[in-house]
Amino acid sequence: MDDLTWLKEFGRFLTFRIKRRVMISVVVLAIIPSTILFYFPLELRYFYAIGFTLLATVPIFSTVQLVTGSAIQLIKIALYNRKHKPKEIYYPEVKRIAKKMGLDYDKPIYVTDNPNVNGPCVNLFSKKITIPLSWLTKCHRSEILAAIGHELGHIKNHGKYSKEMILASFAPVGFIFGLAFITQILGLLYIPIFIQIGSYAFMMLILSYVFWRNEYRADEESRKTVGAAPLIAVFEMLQNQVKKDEGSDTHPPLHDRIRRLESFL
Amino acid sequence: MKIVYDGTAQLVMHPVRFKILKHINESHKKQFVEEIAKAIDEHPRLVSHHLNVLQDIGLIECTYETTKAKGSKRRRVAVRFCTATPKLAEVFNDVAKAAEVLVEAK
Repeated sequence: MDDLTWLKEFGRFLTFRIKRRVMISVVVLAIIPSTILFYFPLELRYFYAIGFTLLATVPIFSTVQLVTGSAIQLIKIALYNRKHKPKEIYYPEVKRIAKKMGLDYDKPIYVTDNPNVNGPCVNLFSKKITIPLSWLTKCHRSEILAAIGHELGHIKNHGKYSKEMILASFAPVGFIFGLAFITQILGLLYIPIFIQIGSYAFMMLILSYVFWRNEYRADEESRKTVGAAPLIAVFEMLQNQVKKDEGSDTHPPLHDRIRRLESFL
Repeated sequence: MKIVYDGTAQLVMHPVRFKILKHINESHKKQFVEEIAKAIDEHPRLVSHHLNVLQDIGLIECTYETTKAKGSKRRRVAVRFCTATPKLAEVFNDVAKAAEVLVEAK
């Protein structure tokens, strides 16, 4: 396993900002030089191929990191929850908040001491909202309710989110056919591999956008029902805990979420 | 260090709340929300939320007084004034002790 330390270091080096920039450059490189690649001199084509292959490792590595990371996290949570069942806690305000959002939600909130659960989360299928036990002491009741409001926002917008996810999955198909059309005009009879990799990076970017949009929407729902101040307070607390506030594949940066909410104070 | 056990410490450790408490503790006089917000460079409504939390756990006391509204001779508005309670001094003592323990441990 020691041989894989360089891989872990590489993963740590790939902060979200770097990953996003590389993915955008992969998409741009796939669109412009790739479609007219066969008009280039041979040396330039070699140079391009090497450069593109190196950059293309990033979206692939990023996907592996995201998928395996999420899977390991889910397995860990499930294994821990088998022995230490989350406890039910009933907040009467939750029903009121849900009603304001137009939801019929009258379920208890689950509290867990699972070390793998870092923040409030919702299971969109069972609609169970779970919060970590430490939050009960770290946050004021109003702030916990704001976080629950955010999760209820996810439940409310589940339909829109699913539709956007489906559309985002079709995005690379549109991308690849669009470029295939251009290559056809240019006289090529096949789609270069660079365009295929570019379309994958494009899908990753679009998916990330959908995830972020979903978070902003849930923030907005919480703001409308609970108010902006408690949610900002929660984000400020989280900002204090993270090393670099630059967002992730699934969540936008906290400073951006705070800035959006501050305009409603 | 009882504040660690009664949950006050965890609530106080919020960066903005800590700034508010530090400001109130150092000022030794009644402070109103706008003043605190200006001093710590935060939005008054956000400060107001944190003051509610701090009042809830008994670290500050808030009173409402009426003062003349800006730009009007007749109109009066209610302003929220905040002062530190004895519990706040205890909290700061405990935090200082905890910091000393940490420094010694290092």
